[in-house]
Amino acid sequence: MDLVEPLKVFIEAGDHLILLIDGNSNMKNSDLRTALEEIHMKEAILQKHGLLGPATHKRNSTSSPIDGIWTTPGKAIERGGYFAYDEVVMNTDH
Amino acid sequence: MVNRQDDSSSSASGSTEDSRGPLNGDLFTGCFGGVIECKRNNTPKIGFQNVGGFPCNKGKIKEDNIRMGLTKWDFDIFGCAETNLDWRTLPEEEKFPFRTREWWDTQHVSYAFNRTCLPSTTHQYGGTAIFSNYQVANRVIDKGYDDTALGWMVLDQISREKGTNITYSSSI
Repeated sequence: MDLVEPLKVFIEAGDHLILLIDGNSNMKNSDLRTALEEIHMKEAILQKHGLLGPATHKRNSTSSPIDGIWTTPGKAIERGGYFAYDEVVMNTDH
Repeated sequence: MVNRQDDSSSSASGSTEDSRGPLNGDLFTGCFGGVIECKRNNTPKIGFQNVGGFPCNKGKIKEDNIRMGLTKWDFDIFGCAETNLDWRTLPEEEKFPFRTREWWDTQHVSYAFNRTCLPSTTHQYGGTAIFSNYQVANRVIDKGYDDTALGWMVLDQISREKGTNITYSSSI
C-alpha cells in the first residue's frame, strides 16, 4: 500500500508516528486498517473507546468511521473523541 | 480531550443530547468519546478534519468558518484533508501560508496538493495540510510530502527534548 511505505521509513528510523487520515475506508475493519496494524499502528480513538463509535461522515448510516488518528505503540492519547458535525468547521460532511 | 470515566462532572463516552445511539442504524450526529476540555500543560491537542475545501479567494465565509473552528478549539496540531485548491494558480497573497499566517500567534504550516499536471483551474480535488502551532511550531525540524506529488500526504517532524522525534502526517 502506497501509504504504508513512507510510514515505515520513519518507524524504522525510530520515530513515533501520528497519522491523521481521511481514509475513505472503514477504520474498524478494512484493508487500510489491516495494513496499518501490520506496521503496529493503532487507531487512537477506537483503541481508547472501543469499536462502538459512530461514522465520521454525515451520510454514512453504517457506523463506519472513515477518518482516524493512528499512532505507533509509544504514543497513547490521554483524552480523545469525535466532535459533533459542524462543531469545528461548519458546513462540511465530516 | 475526553473526560475521564471517573469524572462525575463529565459525560460518559458517546453521550450526547442527541438521543440516537452511534450504532442504532440511523445517522448519528452527536459527539463520541466525551466533552472537549481545556488543554493541560504539556499535553498537545491534536485534531483532524476533512474541511471540504478552501474557497478560491481569501475573505470568504467558508474560510472564516475554517479559521474560527480551528482557532476556537486551540489545537496544537491540526490536519486538514481536502484543501481542494491548486495553490500554484493563486497570487502569493492568496496562497496557503499567507492566507493563514495570522490564525495563531506562532504557527508552522505544511501543505500538499496535486502537482503532477500543469496548473489550470484553481479548484482541484484533494490536497492536505498540517498546522503546527504554539510551542510545537518551534520544534518542527523537517517536513515532507508524498513521493508521487499527488498531494495525498504531508508530514511534519518535530524534535523532543528527550528521545525520539515525532512525525505526524495528514493524509487523504
